[in-house]
Amino acid sequence: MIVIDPSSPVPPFEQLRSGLVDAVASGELSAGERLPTVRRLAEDLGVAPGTVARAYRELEASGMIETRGRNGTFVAFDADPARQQLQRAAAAFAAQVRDLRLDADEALAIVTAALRTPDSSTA
Amino acid sequence: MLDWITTFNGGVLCGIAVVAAIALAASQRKDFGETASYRASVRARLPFGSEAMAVSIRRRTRTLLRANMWGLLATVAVATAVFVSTPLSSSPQFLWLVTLSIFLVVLTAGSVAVGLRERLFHPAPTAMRVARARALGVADYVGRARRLAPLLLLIAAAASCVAIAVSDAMRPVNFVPLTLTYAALAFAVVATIGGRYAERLVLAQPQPASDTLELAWDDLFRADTLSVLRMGAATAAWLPLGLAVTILADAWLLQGPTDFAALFHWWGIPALQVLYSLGQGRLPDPLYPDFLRPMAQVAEEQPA
Repeated sequence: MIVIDPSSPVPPFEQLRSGLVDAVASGELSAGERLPTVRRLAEDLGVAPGTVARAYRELEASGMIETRGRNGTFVAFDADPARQQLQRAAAAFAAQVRDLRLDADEALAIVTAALRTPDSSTA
Repeated sequence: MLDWITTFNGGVLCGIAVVAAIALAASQRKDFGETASYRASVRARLPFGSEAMAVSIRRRTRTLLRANMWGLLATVAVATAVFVSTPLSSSPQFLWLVTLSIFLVVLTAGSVAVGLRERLFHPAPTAMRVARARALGVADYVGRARRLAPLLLLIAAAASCVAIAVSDAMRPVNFVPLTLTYAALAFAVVATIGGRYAERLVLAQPQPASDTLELAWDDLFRADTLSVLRMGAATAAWLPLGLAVTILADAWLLQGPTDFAALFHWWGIPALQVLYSLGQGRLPDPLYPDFLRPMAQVAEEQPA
């Protein structure tokens, strides 16, 4: 269920975006399920269609949802938020490795070693 | 001198008109719809969250009834014209035709018109709003049997029309019942396509709600509208099937015209009405707010 509170300091766009992310994370929205149309959701929630369209665009850019032409907008099949966050972190890490002009194999070895070290962040 | 069938048909028409007129007059009262909305609340296991919510539900109940009663009066007016000007008035088929018109035109068109024209709730601009994250379809509102009945009946009707065409080649059938059956099949196809279009319109309507209880009430009225649409399509699809079965029975099984053959094609209407009325006024479990779902359902959904 998506809830929009007009009195909240959080902008409606962010409330909507996080509501959809939560719905996917909680299993309320599963992969392949169709989302309401932009216009319909905007009227249901009493927000501007642009607000819903922006939330959909951002979620589509992050790979959580996908638009299939006139069929509508659907939850992407690989829409697990944790996995997506991991993919974003990996992309940032890869970009950093390239910036530092380090060897990819060496970078992978470092990641593997870090993953095998128990709770390395607190070490 | 009128025969007893004509008198009976005329009497029933007058009775329907009187009932509709009384209901329309009674619905002028401010408190009209209170009993009906409480009954709906008990049947659906949905409470009124506030007085404002109860007023909105009462208003919708009243509007629906008034739309149906005006439709009933319009049907009676058309039926009276047919009654006065054609020999159908002395036919036992006449009242069935009126019944069919009531199911197809009055209930269906009335429910759809009210569903498309009116919003059940009007939350204040500053109020919280809730909406479902996923788009719902007919399958979310109407049970499997009632959802699939129109399509299955239409397929059976098409198959039986092919059968009477084959039968006609072997044992020629009267032109009039044959043409009527094909016309009824064409009507059923149009009714099915029209019904699907109406369903899409109903499903596309926004559901402004400030809490999950309001959303559930809106879903309840929507479920009833979609169910009535499927009932209309199923009724239209039954007609050619019943006519075709009658023709086949006449040609191959029965010796001469019988009461069974004369009225069989109408029998499906009350049967379908029973099938569809069983699900009216109830919401499928997943559409209830979490705090109202049956405990068994909640327990079933919780992981072990």
